[in-house]
Amino acid sequence: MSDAKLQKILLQSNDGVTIDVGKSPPLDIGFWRTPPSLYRAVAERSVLIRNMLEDLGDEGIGNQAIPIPNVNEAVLKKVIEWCDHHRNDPVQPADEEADTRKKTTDIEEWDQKFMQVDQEMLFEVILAANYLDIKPLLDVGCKTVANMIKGKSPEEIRKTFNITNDFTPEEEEHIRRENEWAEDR
Amino acid sequence: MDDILAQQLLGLGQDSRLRKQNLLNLIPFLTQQEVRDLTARLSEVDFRIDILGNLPVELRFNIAEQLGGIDLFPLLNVSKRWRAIWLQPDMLSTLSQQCPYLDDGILSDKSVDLQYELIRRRRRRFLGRFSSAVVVRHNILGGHDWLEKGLNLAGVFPQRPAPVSDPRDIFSRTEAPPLEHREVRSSLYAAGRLAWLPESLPPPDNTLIVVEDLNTRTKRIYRNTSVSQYGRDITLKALGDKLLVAGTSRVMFIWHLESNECSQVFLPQQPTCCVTHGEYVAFLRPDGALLWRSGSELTALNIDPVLERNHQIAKTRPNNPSSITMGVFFHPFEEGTLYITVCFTQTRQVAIHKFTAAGYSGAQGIDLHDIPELSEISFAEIPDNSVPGGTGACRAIRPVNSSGDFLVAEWRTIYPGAPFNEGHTPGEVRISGITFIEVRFNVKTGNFSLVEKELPSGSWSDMYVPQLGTSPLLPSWNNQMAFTLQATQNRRIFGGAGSVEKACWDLALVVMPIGQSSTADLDVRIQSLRPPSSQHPQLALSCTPHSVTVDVHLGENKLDLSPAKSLTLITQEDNAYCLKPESHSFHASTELLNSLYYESDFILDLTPTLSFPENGGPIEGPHHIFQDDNFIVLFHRHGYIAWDFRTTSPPSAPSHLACLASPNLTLAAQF
Repeated sequence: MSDAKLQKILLQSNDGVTIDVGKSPPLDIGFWRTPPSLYRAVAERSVLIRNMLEDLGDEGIGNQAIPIPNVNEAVLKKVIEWCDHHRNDPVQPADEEADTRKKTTDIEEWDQKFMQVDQEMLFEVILAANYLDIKPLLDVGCKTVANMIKGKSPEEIRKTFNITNDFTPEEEEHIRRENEWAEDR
Repeated sequence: MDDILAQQLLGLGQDSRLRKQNLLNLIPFLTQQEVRDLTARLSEVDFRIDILGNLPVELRFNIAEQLGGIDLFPLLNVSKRWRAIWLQPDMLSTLSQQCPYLDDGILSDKSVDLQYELIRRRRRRFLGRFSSAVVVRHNILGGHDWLEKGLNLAGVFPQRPAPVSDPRDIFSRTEAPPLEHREVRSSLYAAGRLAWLPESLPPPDNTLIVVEDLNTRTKRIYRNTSVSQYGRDITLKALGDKLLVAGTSRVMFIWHLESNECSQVFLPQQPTCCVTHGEYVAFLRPDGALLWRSGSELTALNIDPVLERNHQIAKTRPNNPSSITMGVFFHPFEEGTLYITVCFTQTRQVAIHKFTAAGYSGAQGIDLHDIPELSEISFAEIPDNSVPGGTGACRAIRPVNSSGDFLVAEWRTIYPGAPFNEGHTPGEVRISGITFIEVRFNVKTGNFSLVEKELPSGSWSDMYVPQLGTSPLLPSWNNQMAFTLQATQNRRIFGGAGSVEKACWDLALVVMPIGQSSTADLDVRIQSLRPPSSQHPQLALSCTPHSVTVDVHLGENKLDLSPAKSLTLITQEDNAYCLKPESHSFHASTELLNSLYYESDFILDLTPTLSFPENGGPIEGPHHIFQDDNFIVLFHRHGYIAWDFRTTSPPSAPSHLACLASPNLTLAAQF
């Protein structure tokens, strides 16, 4: 059996770095490396990679790195970290989407910590999750952004995302008045 | 370390890959000090980016889908770019599921500015932020007492800012036309116009019809000698955007509200209901329908397909003889297109038949027994001693929003312990649990939708519902339902050992979100026209802000929809009713009321329309609650309050009464 060889999955980021899925830190089982049999489960969180593996077949891949042309090394490592943590999550059927949408603001604790990154990384992770077709990660990313928006005043949103206020003073006054409660008092 | 080089590196902005590559190339050539400098510089750099704006369009939808329960308005005011992003038609239809005051459809074909304005107005309506209110009392029987009370209560809000000592100076109400009537016999509302017939006037004045246009604050009184001969038999039949129909059982008078022309129509048989839209009027009977168009003759509508289908449906359930309620309404956006609804109240089926100018164009139906998700709503579990549910079908079908949804039936279940009287006079209901299911039909999509409305269970002291049996129990608009609530039993709703002073209102109009029970993340807002002070009610009224916020943590710029964890009402110095997270539970009903207030979107104080009961006796309930995007009107036997949610101010007071020289039109005035 060529199991050991086949389970090893290499990804190549757009900046040319080859990443071994099994070696991506941090590993959440302490000192122990992720058992090789799990590499595939990690990689297959990505529908894109799963399909690619299926299309190519075990022979087709061999020891070659799978090129991921849209994602750089740092982001790819981050994504693999997420996939590694969630490797045992049940794969979500598409029709359950409506259910998950209900709990909009709920993000599990590990994911919350995982998403505590600078906004650029958050942005890149969302793009990567979309490209690699990792729906749960995309959802977590979008929820994180949604939570950064929700319940904030325009000024707070501008501050959060470094957006310039390009309304004219008149428009600004208009908006301000709308947000006063007893405006005619 | 070269400043320019550093600048270049930092200036690479959002292309992180290029920036990083450059940095990595650079670092091996730097000294330790330079690396430290660079670190310091980098730490000052702003890594914040407009994630939303930079994402590809399709991913913005993913974010929009996660916004659940958001107040959209602040997002529109971040920047012009953001406004444009959120106001994309596709984006709006996604957001319409996330934002409680948006609904689908009507917004899609408007320009950005118009959409923004519409959303602004919807939000104001949703939050109960009216720009003005008018209180009109009808019991102007003459005499000094009326003058004092009537003038003081009939104010137009907001008042002018300058402090005025005499309250009579600050109300922009002109002298009412010389009508001596006391009560309202029937009333109708459409497109900002109110029509009503005064009660208990001697002939011929008992046949005059008052039409008050809230948009322009003008009043017209229609009187016609041929109408007068019918005396008290005249009732209001229908009001639309252009026509007003009143008459007896078979003789109809139709006024054109623009030209004030009056037409008289004789019907072969008495109709069960009548509706109008545009220049069309439809009269419906169980066995036929007639159509009238301004300037042409009465024509018969062939409703054989409807009757045939009724027959077929009745045959499928031979053991369950079903009573049928037929209703009718016009397509609000296609003039001349008409719908006839048939509601099989026992078997809970609804059929809708469409008629265009070209004739019959098919039917659609919904059978509530066939819908699995409805099993949760559970019609089966209606206890024997409950008030018979399933009879909430309507005849004159009302819209429930401005995007084409019509309420075609409403099924309700009222659980035991619910004395219940139905009749011509306003009903009074004691309930211990009510479930309402609205069956809606959208004329744009041709789809049915079901909306469950629920009230907190418990024993209400008194709840008034307008016109039980003939109209929807809880009128709804844009997923808010409105009803009135009374607390006269002990006159202490909140705080204070029976003290009248601390009862914040005697009667309130409560506007609640539909279908969101205790999980609703909404602030409680109270809009009041009544002063907290009971010492000089009239004077204090004039200085009461017309809208007050009750949420203590609502900041200036922060109108979020997060819950106010609060139960007890406290009157504050600044005339605001303030909610604080303090103790509650004087009484079970107090708790119930509190929970209601907690869940309501806003509450409007109705006291100004009502006579203050000297002995603490019950206050009569309202006839009708009318509402749309622009107004909420609560029509009472003795008057009404109209809250105006348009963003423009009401027109200033007129200086004179305008009398139009039309033979049919007696009086026109501004109010």
